[in-house]
Amino acid sequence: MDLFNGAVGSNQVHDFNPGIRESGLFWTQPVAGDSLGVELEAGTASLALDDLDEEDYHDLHNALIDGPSDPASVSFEMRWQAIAKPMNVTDSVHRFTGRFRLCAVQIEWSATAPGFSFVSDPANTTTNVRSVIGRERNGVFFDE
Amino acid sequence: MNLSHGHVGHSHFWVRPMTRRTFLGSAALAGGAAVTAGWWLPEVAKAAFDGVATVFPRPIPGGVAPFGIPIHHFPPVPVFGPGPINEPSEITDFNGLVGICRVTGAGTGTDLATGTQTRLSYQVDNGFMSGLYIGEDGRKHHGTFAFI
Repeated sequence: MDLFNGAVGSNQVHDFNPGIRESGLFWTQPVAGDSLGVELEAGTASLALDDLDEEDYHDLHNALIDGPSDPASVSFEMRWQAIAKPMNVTDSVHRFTGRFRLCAVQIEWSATAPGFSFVSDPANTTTNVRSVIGRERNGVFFDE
Repeated sequence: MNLSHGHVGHSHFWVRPMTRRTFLGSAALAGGAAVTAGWWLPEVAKAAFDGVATVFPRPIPGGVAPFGIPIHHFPPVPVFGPGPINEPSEITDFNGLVGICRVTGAGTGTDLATGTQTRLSYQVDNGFMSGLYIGEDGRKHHGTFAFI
């Protein structure tokens, strides 16, 4: 979750993520199952998390090299809403398969870091770039 | 792709004292647990385990290399093909529900020392994975994960 003092992509000032695990697992952390609601037939999903422990790496390059960071937390509520019909996708190059729907997402979020806080504008001001929900199989489950 | 995992330095959140998060227990499955599920069935849209997973999954093998630094992640855009979407999941050996997004917007940052407020823009690439996975321990588990 990136903040810029200017247009997106320029003059980044905060980069909140949980870090990269030694295995290479990328910015992924366990959360309570009841934080997630998914209704694939309706084409909706929601994820709501409060006071989630993160690190503030301040910019993307520093995050990718696991440079210095500050403890931080984020809270957010976000919702996926399908904008297209379901599509079956099998990518044998990257070995994943599934049924997916392109979506629009709205989010409202906040963050705190030492000496700093952030509150986003209301969810209905979110600009969707590209979003997807679906059901996926990969790895050892790809060929099932 | 040769991915280096030589990250060292400060402790990550998962090795810091758990001040705000309560781990509720493992969701390890018995060896004979069901692996398959029907496509798009309402019942699979429910998390099989409402607690917090204690065994981490493993990363997808592929990814991109921003700044020349390989990572196990495909951003939602650009689409690399051959399919119409990039792989949404961050974790491999996975069978479950996924979501990912890239959104942008704006908000207000506050300097807590001075009270000075600044308008900031944001980009958020968030997602989720919830379902069956093979953990770092090589066993089957159910869990829900957020990509932040």
